[in-house]
Amino acid sequence: MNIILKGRGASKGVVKGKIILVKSKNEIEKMENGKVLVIPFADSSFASAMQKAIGIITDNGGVTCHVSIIARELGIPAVVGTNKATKKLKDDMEVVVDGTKGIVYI
Amino acid sequence: MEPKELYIYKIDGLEKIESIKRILDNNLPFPKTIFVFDYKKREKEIEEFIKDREYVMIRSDKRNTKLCPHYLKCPKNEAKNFIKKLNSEGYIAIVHDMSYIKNYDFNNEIAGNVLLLKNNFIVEIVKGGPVTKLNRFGELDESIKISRQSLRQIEHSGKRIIDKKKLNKILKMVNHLPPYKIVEFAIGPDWLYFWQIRDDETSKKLEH
Repeated sequence: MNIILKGRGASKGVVKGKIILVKSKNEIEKMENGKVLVIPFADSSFASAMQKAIGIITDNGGVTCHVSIIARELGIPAVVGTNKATKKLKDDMEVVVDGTKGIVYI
Repeated sequence: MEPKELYIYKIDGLEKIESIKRILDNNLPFPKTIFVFDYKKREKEIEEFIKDREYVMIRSDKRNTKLCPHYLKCPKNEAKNFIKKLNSEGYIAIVHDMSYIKNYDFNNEIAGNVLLLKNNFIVEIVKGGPVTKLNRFGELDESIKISRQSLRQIEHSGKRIIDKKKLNKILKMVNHLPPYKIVEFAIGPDWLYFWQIRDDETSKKLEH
């Protein structure tokens, strides 16, 4: 496995899954159950999409942001603050989200 | 903070207001604030509060509601209507003085969260306030992990935004608090305020 992104481990655990990119609130309906949700910023208005996700990756954010708290509540591995997740990751790419180390592998 | 300007009638279940009460219980500095549960009953006090201020910061709270509306730089001529609207929608208005911010410009401010773990602090900071930029939108400039015992830095990422002396002062003020809480603060050239002390039970999961 190769490292594709580094960020902050906001919610512990490791999960493998396919990406779904939701770039804005208008695209929330795109979200499908069992996918790794990639979002630009840590706005908790993405909470409904997060509930369907098995992993979360964000461009912005830290461990005290709302999105990180929600991820921990849901028990979903999350890597936040990667800076470029929405640019580097594409729909249906398979990745491993390591929320303990704050690393995303491809 | 002048206690005469603080009116807390009933706080059960109001997460934000309870977290503000913790700030006051811990004698941490807090800007002058009024809480408005019922606009009609408080109209005169609201007028008195806003009359010499160019802007006020208005936040709100409601039971079982996470994302409450706010107007972070509310001109005084819009304040009464905004408070009225909040009350009519079932929100309690939290009206803060913001005259301590020079020229009402958030750019001179550093805002952040201190997450208290058992043995460590995690401090996340954004240049320019308010702290909602960090909480809601994930804007983050500096992240530091610090030992609670020695106040020594363990990890650092991002730009150096906050002066070490100022940070240590903040950490010493909150170090007596139990773990798994997030303390929101903002600091300017000549002022320091704390905004909330929130529970974060989920942060137990960040312990190694």
